[in-house]
Amino acid sequence: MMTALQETLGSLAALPGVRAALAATESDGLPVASVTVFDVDADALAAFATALFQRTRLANVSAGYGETRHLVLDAERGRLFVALEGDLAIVLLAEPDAAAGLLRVALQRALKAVA
Amino acid sequence: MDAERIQAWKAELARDRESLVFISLVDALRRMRRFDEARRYALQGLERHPHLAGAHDALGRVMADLGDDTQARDEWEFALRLDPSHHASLRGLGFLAYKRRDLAGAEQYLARALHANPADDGLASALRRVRLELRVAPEKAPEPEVKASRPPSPARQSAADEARHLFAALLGDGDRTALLLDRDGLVLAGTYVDGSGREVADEIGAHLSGLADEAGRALKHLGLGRWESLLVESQHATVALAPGLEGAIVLVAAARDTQVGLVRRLLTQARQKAATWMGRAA
Repeated sequence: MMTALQETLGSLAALPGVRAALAATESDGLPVASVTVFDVDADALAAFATALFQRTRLANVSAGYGETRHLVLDAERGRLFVALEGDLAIVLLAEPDAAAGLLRVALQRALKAVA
Repeated sequence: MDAERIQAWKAELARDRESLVFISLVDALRRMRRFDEARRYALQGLERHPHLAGAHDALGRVMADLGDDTQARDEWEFALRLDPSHHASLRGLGFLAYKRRDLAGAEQYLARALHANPADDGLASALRRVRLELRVAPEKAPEPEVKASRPPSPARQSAADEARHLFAALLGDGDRTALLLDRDGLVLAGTYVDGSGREVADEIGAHLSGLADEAGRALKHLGLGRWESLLVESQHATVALAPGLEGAIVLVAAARDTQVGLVRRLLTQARQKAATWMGRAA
């Protein structure tokens, strides 16, 4: 399982513009596995990404919007993608000009592969 | 990291059951949304320190997070009996008063909280918004509680209506909604209704309170600069958020079949509208 997860993260990290790919548990925000192309604080990234996902998920539940599938955060110097299956979140950190559509699809496929 | 500190605090409490670290522990557990655990530690702490205002405040915060406003209010009121200038309890009661649209009550509590801690910028911002809705001059003394039940004057009602319908024109008749929240998650303008037409703005605000500050800190640590927008796709809706003035958040939600590009465009327009309105109101 860990090998498959690590391989999946490796494939994601190899996509153009991706700086880090990691898997984390949503419930405690701790990284399970990570592949970082550049120097990225995986612990901080996992904690922030899962907390952000959790907050928006709860807000969506309150609004009756059902299950939250995916989020994209755009910042000045990077884009953050998070998708969740069960308690496992996959997080991608990419360059600001990375192709969002491509990464979104790759992330969803990766999530299905490891779920 | 909170997880490490939580372990350290738990270990300290295991060593010394009288330790006051339970307050920090409860707060950290709340931040991680581990509410049941937070409530357990808050109750244990309160058992050992029943005359400590901070202990009642800790439980009050957990109960507010859990949506039990009645118990939250009881705890904060008790804390004020122990320490009439307890800043966090005044703040909490102000938030609850605002939530039930008791604007005069909210103004009174928030003004007292700000008096107790003038350095609390978030509180100053919340108080400005409440006063804006009340159309009360900042230097005016808080009104006695009995007057809070008076029906709103036409001017107050008009201001509240304007805030509520701020985004109506740009949203059109589709299945869309928009909201402006201050940095504490208090609703400044707009509405947020669920599929059954129920107003859920306060609940959404509670879940997103502090989001802008939290995102700012984390992104700074990660070297990513300021956040510009957040797009969330769920089963039935696409929700887009962006930072506004003074730590506020602008939020737009649309039915899932709405094109993502259109949702982003609506967000840009709502952000501009919110900035103009906040600038005018300041």
